[in-house]
Amino acid sequence: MEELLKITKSGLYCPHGDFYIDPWGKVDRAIVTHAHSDHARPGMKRYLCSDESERVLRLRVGQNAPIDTLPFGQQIDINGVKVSLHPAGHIIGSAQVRVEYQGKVAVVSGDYKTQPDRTCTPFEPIRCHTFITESTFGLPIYQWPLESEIFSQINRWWRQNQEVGKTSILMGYSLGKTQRALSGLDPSIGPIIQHDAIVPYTDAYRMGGVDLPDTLRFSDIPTRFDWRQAMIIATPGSNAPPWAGKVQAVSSAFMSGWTAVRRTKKRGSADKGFILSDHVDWPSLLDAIAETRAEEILVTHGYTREVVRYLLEQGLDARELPTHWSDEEPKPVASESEPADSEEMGGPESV
Amino acid sequence: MKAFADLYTELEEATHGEDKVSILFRYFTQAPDEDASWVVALIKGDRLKRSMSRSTFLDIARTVASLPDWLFEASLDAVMDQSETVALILPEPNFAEESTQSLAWWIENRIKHLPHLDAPQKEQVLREAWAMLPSSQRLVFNKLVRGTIRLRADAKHLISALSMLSGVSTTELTHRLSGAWIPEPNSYQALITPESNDFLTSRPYPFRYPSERASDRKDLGLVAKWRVEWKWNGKRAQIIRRSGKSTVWLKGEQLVQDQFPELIELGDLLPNGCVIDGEILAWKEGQPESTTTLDKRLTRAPKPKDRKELPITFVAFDLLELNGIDLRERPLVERLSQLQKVMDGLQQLGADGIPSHPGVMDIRPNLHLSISIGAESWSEVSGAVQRARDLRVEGVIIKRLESAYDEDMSDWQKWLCEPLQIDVVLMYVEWVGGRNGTEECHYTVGLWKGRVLVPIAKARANLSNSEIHAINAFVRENTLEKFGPVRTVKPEIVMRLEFDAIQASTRTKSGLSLKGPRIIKWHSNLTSGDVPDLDVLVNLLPS
Ligand SMILES: [Zn+2]
Ligand SMILES: [Zn+2]
Repeated sequence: MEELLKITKSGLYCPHGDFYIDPWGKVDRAIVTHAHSDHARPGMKRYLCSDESERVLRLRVGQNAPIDTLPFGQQIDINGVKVSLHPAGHIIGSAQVRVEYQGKVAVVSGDYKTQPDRTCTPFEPIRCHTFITESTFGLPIYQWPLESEIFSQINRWWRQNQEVGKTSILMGYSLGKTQRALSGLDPSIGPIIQHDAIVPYTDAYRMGGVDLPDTLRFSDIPTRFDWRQAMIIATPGSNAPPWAGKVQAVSSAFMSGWTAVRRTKKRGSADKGFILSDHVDWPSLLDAIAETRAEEILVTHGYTREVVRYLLEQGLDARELPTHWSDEEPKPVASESEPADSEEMGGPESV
Repeated sequence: MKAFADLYTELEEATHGEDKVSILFRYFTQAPDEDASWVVALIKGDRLKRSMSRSTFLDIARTVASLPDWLFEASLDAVMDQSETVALILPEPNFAEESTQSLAWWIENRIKHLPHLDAPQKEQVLREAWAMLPSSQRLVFNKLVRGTIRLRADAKHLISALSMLSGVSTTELTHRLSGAWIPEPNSYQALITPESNDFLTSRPYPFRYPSERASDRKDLGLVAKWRVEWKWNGKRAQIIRRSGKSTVWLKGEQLVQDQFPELIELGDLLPNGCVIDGEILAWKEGQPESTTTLDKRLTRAPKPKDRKELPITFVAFDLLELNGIDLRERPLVERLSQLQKVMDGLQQLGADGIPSHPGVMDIRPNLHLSISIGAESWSEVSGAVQRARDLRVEGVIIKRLESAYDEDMSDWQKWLCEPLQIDVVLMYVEWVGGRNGTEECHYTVGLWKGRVLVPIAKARANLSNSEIHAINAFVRENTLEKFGPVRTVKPEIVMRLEFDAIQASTRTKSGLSLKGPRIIKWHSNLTSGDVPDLDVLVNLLPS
């Protein structure tokens, strides 16, 4: 029997149903797990996504793109293949795609996390025969602290910056990460200002019913403004940020799972890192895989080799699935200015 | 331990000194004394010794983590820090099991015992700690165990933060922190107690410096009105004896008693309330040694063999305080006679038979008194300046006998000997960039040793822009080899090099080290064959 899903040059393809999941080539029919650009590309003839995902997907692939939507859990038939979407807990509307044909079930998880996040519907484990999982943080060194702990760290940092008259600049990926950060900020501390590039995504979250604290848009700020109390939410990597010149002293921080390791903590000019990730960490990855009870695990973007080898040694049938998907926040290069302590690098040592 | 783990991380993240100070300030306002005392020790650089070897540590970690070896290795590769890897790969403790013990508790009750435990006990201690400490605290715990912890702040940040906290001046804190530190709660309390009696101030007086030689000699009057001494090439210092305690200060309020225990021993012989001004010199067999020897002594507290192999002396030349009375307003002539009396009291007879430098009187080991060169006319003074290099001094210093120890510059003047000059060949050019788009280069120049050129100095050029342009154009045309920003040039350009002093060195190819080298002239009419042999320079070495 032909495989239920296979990799073609345009992407992950279901031959029986004649559709693609998160394709990188232009195709007639694309099911899109979530609106991050490595998964949702413009130019498809027809899209299918979760109804919670539609607004943000339109921001990415065009307001008039032909998009069909499906509520979570509802099954449809595409050329005899049963298709349904289930929450992946990654960002708003992010879905796992369940496909079933002649009793065989495969689940494409897209990007996912099992940590709580009140800005999106939580991940649901789905039983299947074949599970396609990401492995962005697939090493045991990645174990996320509690979200509540990170949020209290961020709020404490904001207060401390205020005490020394510094504006806080919190940077993260524009879709998903910054809205999740917003959901954890304590608006009683001071005004929260959004970089203009983030505003449409946050608006989409609010329209989708996600309750977020009030924010100001950066370009609406009057000339006389006490920046020292403020928290600016921004995307990283803007060379000439609009606040340059307006805001005197700043302290900046970057939110990403990569900040868990000291040598990959510093990103650009950021002073600080907060460990806030929208991907599964090592223990949750293993749990999620176990809960699917899948016989076959296909591992994509991240530490694929390590995860496959580990699963094989655990007696599972696992292999790598080469895709063009990547983490929306690519792994930073280790900073050269702050090497790890030399004694720790593993040079010779007398015992 | 949580506060300490936060401190570690925040100091590592902070890039500005002022931020480090406020981070430390915030830490000390809430830290218990026993922890604060340890933090002081760790920043002062009194590293905790390694309590466990790397292999034992990693073996235990592998056992506890129970991961496949290859995955443990892959994790080490990704993190590139053993303590951190081990901190990250273990599961977080349950909230209820989390430790609330202090930094000092972990060090005193666990880490310090590790070296005396057998293998199973060691493993038990680490297991227990790892199960109780969250990841960020495990990181600092592991680094304490391994002796690799380093707080990213220096003594300056520490002192500023403690000064803000306690109101004790930074100078006083510098003084209180000098010497050995015992990481105990009492030490920390004593450190931040406002002006406690244990630490009566022993600040130095502001040093008085000579001005450059005045061009007009008429104003000087009779030479008999002046004290004329050699100008030593060492480190200006004050030895202070107050409240039964001796200290040694360099300019810039730098305390150096740890580096020079000899001088503390001398200080202990002085009467209470006494301050002597002078210069520290590397000194062997009655003669001043090169400053590189002294620099070696300045970097560390000496081992017994350093005191023997890198001997130093203090050449005294002024007395600023006696019996607790500030003498600085008294005329120099009076201060000198008092200084002579203090020296007489310390004089140790039975010299070793080696004649000392003519500029000093031997008092005792590690102590000399600077004496007058005995010139009877200004032309004799000028003559002395000519001889200065042979005597391994920089020139002479003249001080008006009636002058107070104050700010009036014209009363103290230094007459330095003329710079030395030699013709050299350009060998390498290093582009170091430049401000305002100018080309800025370092020129390495050399002399012949037989048929080979030997580099003798790296110098900047005090030449006109057009000359520099012409030279650099030649360099671009005649580069033999390029290594990064350094170009090896065809040895054809001859230049005149000027420098202030020369001394032997074991660190250079030529065996010489020149002080203050600079290029002052381009001989466009000379070729490399016109340049002298290295021996010419060697002959300039002081005998
Ligand atoms: Zn994504
Ligand atoms: Zn992705």
